[in-house]
Amino acid sequence: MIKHFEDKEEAVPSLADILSLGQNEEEAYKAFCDYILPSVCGRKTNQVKFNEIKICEIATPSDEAFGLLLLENAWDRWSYQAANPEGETFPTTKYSNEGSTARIAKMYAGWKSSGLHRFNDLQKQVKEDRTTSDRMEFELNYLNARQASTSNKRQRISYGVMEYVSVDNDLDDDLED
Amino acid sequence: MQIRLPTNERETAPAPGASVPTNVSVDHQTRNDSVSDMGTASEIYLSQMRANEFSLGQDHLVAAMNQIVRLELFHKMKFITSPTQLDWGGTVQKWIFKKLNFTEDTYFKEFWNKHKGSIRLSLNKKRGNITWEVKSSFLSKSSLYT
Repeated sequence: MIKHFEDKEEAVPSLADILSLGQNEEEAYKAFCDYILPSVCGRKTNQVKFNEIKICEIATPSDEAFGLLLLENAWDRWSYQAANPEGETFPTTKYSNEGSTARIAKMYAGWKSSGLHRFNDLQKQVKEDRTTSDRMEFELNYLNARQASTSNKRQRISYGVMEYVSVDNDLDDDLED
Repeated sequence: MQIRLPTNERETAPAPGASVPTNVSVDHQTRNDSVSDMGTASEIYLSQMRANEFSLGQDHLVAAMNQIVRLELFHKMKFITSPTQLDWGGTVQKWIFKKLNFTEDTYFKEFWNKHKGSIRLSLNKKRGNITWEVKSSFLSKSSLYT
């Protein structure tokens, strides 16, 4: 995501804008749906579905909330890593105990209890967001944009105008016998 | 129940159905088997095959259970924070049994109690994989479009 925006010389969406969910501030939630959400709900298995049905029918609220949690948890660290790939020390994550062997870290499989509470909050927010008109409008627009994008791509691959090279074969010999 | 024969006798075990009298004896005390009435190698062979099928079946069931965790349960449940969530009669058990058409009889109750730990491990592993995926997507430029 970051490299794509950098290559296009556009501003990377901020975490705060992404957390505004369906309001899609500065096209941030579109970026979340393009880059992050497919990784959570299955990029390959759902690739076709992203062109056919709305986000809320592909990703569960739990998927969406988990994607947001992962971003919020490691935003500082990953941003730093993107800017300093050779760096040796990175900012710590917000809700996870990476590498910790403490009992509490093991208990929640590496997550702090604050992370689990935050996940519950995010799930509630996503469920509520899905009932708002902003979100419904965003979902429709997003689906239309996806469909338009893929139909454009299909038009580019136009087999009708290609000239095929004919390669000889020996099938006729067999048929004559 | 598994019958363990000496290696050379196992290799030369006759095909199923063949009735070959033999004097193969099984050490009950050390092997904990109960095949004292078996009189033919074929019976022993068949019994062994059944035992193998039984253990293979359990492996398959565990694999099916873990697959349903990775492909479906994960999208509805991201964390198992307490061992009691995996108790017999709990939501997770009932959901998985419904998905896999398992009956709630004694056999599957024992199976569940023996293998329920793998649910948590599968879920944790899947969560780790997804975290890695999200990180890659965040840092790279690949999207749905590319």
